[in-house]
Amino acid sequence: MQVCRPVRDLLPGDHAWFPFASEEEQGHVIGPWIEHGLEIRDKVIYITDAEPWELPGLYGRDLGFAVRQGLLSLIPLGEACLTQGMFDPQKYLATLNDEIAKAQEQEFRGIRLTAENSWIFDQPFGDSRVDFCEQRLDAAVAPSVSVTAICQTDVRRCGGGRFSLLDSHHEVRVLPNPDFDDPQLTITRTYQPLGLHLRGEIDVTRRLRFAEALGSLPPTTETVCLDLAEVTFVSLDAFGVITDFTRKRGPRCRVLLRHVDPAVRSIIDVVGLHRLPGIELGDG
Amino acid sequence: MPLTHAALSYEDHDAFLETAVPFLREGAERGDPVLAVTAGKTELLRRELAAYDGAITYVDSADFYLHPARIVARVLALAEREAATGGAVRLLGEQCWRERDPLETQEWQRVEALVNVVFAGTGAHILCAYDLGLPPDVLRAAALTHPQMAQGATRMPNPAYQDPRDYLSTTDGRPLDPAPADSALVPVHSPDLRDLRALVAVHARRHGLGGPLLHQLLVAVTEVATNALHHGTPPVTLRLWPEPDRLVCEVADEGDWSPPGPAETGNVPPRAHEIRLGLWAVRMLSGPVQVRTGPHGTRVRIHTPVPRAIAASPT
Repeated sequence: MQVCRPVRDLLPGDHAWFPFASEEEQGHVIGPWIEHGLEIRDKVIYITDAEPWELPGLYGRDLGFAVRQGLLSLIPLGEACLTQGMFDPQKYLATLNDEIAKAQEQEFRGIRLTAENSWIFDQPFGDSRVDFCEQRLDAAVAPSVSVTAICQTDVRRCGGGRFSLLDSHHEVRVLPNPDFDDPQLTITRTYQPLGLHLRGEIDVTRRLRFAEALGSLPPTTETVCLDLAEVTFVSLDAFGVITDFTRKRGPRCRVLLRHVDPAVRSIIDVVGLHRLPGIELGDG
Repeated sequence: MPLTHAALSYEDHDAFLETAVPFLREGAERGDPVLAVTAGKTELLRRELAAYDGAITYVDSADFYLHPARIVARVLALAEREAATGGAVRLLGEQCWRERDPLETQEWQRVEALVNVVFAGTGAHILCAYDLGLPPDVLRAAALTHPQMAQGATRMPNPAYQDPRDYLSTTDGRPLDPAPADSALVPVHSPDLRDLRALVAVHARRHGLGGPLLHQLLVAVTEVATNALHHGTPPVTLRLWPEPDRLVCEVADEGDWSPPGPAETGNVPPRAHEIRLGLWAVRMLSGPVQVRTGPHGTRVRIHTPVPRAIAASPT
């Protein structure tokens, strides 16, 4: 079974998958992961044509110093995995193995490895080449006590059975770091669908944090999904925060509550959904 | 259109039918939604109003008067919907007073007074039947809470009628029975109410409450305790104790809140644009809720019915 884990909680040996649907979402996960890796002086290896100031979530931040210090290696696609313009799985795996070996020789405690693989599907035999690579990569990363890998996939370029193919190759799926986290409540931004994943109890003591998290969602969003699967308590005040949010956002805004616990649902049923303007119940 | 709210006092079935039948018939002929809620008189009415079968909805009192706040909200929603399209709800109601304990009786009597406030302007026609063999205190309260008396098709002003705000002020001014000496008493200091909820849950489970009913109690207690912490004066306390078929939770503070009207104590359903549901939602989520305010503090006592089957089973 696949485990979902905030990017901050990835561990050596994790061969994780990060499906994303926007540059914002990609930046929200990859940016903090690279930044934190550099902070704790892990080796970060990124297969990308991007320049050091163009990395997801870190756009405009000049990471040239990290490149110069050998903490960050940005390896262009042509050098890492292309042969005559085509994706070459053997070359890709050899590049990764070389880079890992070099980092280990340099005695880095942690090695962070990432690349985006969606573009490979556009090439002939893309599916089988990705399948082959992911198997080999898993075999290399899973037993490691120093290497963490994130395979990034732009799901807008990954239809059909490719999603489930990639899903099956990774035991860990990466989530963004929570916007707020304490023993009572964890709030994590979600992108597919757009909204928040909540865990714990929402009451007046977390009103501001909850309102802030809702308020931070893009103002043009018409449907906000709140995943309440792990929420065990919602106070009347918290429902008030949601209705206040929809009122401020205007008549087109609605908040879809998903995976609502039956006990929480009973509050909505008794009070009446019509008394909670802008709130709708979604699937699950 | 103004509300009509009349009491139908009857000695026997003939006297009941003399007033109830023309009331229901008029509504059916107008094409308005007509509800006939009686204590076992459905067949009697059906026979008299056979020509209007299908135009009148018959319900037994025991199935209708299950929860004061919820039934008010339901009928009000219907009345407002009808009023918006030029219609008027017509309700013949008869409580099962003999089956009520004193607290329930008081709650339903409060509803009779509140009808005059809550339904004002909906144009609803509400006729409440009272058997003259009912206990005197029930008949006395009926006289105080109905602006009109009905006989046949005639409506007479009721000289005993009391302004509902005065009635509620008197009722809600009566002292509460003292909490048992062995009730659990917990100081509420912190706005973080997780521990308080955990404590209430332990007591509630011990007395057979669980699932959605327990959750509703926790939401209600959280709301009342939050109000006390934010708007009351310390010390804030929570008391819990069991009563037959009920669990009682009382939140008290030493503030001097004097609510200006029944809406502030949650007796009136909020308007559509109102975001704060407050004590009204507490009343919706709980059994009877007693609110006592004044210079010596505020007490909100929440009675949560424990389903009989659960209460009777060993824990």
